[in-house]
Amino acid sequence: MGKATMFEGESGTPEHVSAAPAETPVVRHQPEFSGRVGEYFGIWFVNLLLGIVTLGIYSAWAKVRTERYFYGNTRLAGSSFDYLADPIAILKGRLIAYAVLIALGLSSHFLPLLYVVILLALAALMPLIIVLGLRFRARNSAWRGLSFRFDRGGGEAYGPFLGWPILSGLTATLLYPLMKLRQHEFVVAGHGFGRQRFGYAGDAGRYYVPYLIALGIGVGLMVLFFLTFGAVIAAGVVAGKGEANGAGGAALGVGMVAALLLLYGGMFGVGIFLRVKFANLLWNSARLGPHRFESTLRVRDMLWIYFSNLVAIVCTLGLAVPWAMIRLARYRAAHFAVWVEGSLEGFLRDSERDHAAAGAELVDALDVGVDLGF
Amino acid sequence: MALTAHCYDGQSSRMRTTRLDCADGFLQLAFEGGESQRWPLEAVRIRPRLGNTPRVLQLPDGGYLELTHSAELEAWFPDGSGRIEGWVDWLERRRGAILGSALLVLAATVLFLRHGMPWLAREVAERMPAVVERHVSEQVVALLDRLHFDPSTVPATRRAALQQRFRALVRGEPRSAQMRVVLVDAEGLGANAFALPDGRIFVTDQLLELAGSDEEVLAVLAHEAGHHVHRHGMRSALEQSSLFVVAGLLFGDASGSSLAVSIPATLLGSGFSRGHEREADAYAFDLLRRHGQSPKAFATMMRRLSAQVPEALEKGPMGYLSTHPPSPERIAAAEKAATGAGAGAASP
Repeated sequence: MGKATMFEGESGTPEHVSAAPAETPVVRHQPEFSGRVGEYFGIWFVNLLLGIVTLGIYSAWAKVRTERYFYGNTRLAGSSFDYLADPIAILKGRLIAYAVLIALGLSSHFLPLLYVVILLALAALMPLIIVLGLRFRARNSAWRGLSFRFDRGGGEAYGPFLGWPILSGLTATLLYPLMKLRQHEFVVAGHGFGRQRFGYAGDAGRYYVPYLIALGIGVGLMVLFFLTFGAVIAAGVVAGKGEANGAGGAALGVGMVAALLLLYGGMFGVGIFLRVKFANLLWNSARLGPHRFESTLRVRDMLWIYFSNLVAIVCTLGLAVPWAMIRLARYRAAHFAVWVEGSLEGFLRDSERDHAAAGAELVDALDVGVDLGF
Repeated sequence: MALTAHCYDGQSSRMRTTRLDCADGFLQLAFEGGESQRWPLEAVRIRPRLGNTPRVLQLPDGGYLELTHSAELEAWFPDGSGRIEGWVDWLERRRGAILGSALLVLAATVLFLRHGMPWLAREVAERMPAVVERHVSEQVVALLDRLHFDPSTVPATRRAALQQRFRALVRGEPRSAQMRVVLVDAEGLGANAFALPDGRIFVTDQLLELAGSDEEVLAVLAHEAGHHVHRHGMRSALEQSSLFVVAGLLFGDASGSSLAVSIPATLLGSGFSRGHEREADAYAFDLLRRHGQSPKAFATMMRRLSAQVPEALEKGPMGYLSTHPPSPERIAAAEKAATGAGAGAASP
């Protein structure tokens, strides 16, 4: 998931579940998510309606209300999170993004050269855009009246978000886990809460485990796919010789569709497997001062949630979206915890950096929904 | 009357519990240790209400209060959600109102798509610079070129005669200066004719072969001229591509795919609406009659085209009939226009 859910998952009331045998007491705070489907349905539906009536302008307010709903319903240690973004800033960002898309759409048919130029420029600017998005979100996320922040410069993102993806591509994804590690390190260690910085201590070996498993499953799927495909074609040829061509052709078609479904379904599953494993790795390698995080998402649960959400949304023509969102947020909260060493009372406001943050307002208009695959 | 709230000073994450009360336009905070604060109500900012999320009060000194919503809070801050968000919040809580407005929005959308969008498209099309029309047409030709256009093999004398008669037919008509008939041999298109936004009217040799006489070809050309006069190409392209743009806007996060639709592709893909066809027909009947020719030729040509439907459909991506359905209704209209000497009969 995107950075969006990074803090969403953190909420909860203090349940003093256990204390580690250490000098300073360590308390496990479980998040609590209190969003309700019926209530959120109203918000979501009104967002949709007003978006239509205002020709999309309301979508900026809709985004803020949605984020506020999920943040506000997420409690950690008795206090809920808050999303502070100004809808106008989001509207500006959306208009810019929309203008770029229109330019892309028009140039692809009228000026192919300009189209390529814009695409290359976007690719070259992507790390910068990611940083702006992270900064905007962090600064507008608050807990107990204190804001988060992200203070890495745009230039620093070029390594993890442009250099490493290229390296990963050149090595046929063999360096993919290292790329993920660098990206997680960049994102997590770039964040702070008040004066306290987040820290990151990822272990490359642990990043390779899910990757190798996914690779194995992926290769197995491909082999299975080609075997099925071959068998279907062979069967079709045999059937076609003996009987009427129609029956053989139909069997061939069904077989191919089945093989393709198997391949796509499998790839979807592998994608979710990697997502879940890397999300857990991210949080389990992160710390905020002395405090640690625990993420225990399970692949089979997430597979089921994604799959059933998809089916429900398709079957209800989209009306199940609020239910799916609430359900996912609830599951995430239930599988997240903060191990607090000492207390959560000691964070202090980072007043020196407040000023710089306010000056960055203009560039922050680019609130792109960055999905980093956490 | 007093409410319990969590209080943060804005400088640290320390949480304190406080009792809230309101008197004489002042918000009073009473902390456990006996400490208290007083703030004028108008200096305290309250965040808009949203579902069951906690209400948040921002104090002038940077302090921050978090508490559950209550009737007291509503009374202290009657306009706490602001005009717009207050109204949105009211709506979000009422199923009936939501359902009612959903129906209203649906009706408004349908009305807009049927009437508003065509009107807008016409207004925009009339102001479209000729450069754009030319550019778009070039794109269509480039796309069509894949179907292999060869120079017409019809005898030069017949071509010249057709060109001359068409000129004479449209002389003095609006936008006729731009009109130009282009004859091509296009096996891939079959018997076909179409108008581009820049005034070029393409006619295939195959259509000329199918026609029994040049009067019938001229009737088709008159119809295509009608498309050009009424700017149907640009109008329908605008209507359809704006549909995608609007849909992308409405459902938020406009993705590239919603915009990967362009005017030329739309022109090729979907042809004209029934309304546009009727308008072009009416124009053609009127034009023919003003020049002493019978719209009957149009009906005859339509019959010929219908007769070769199966072949035309197989012929390629742009069977004449797929975009210009020669419905019995249109044939009847042409025949009526031919027999009815009165002006009223011209408009089907």
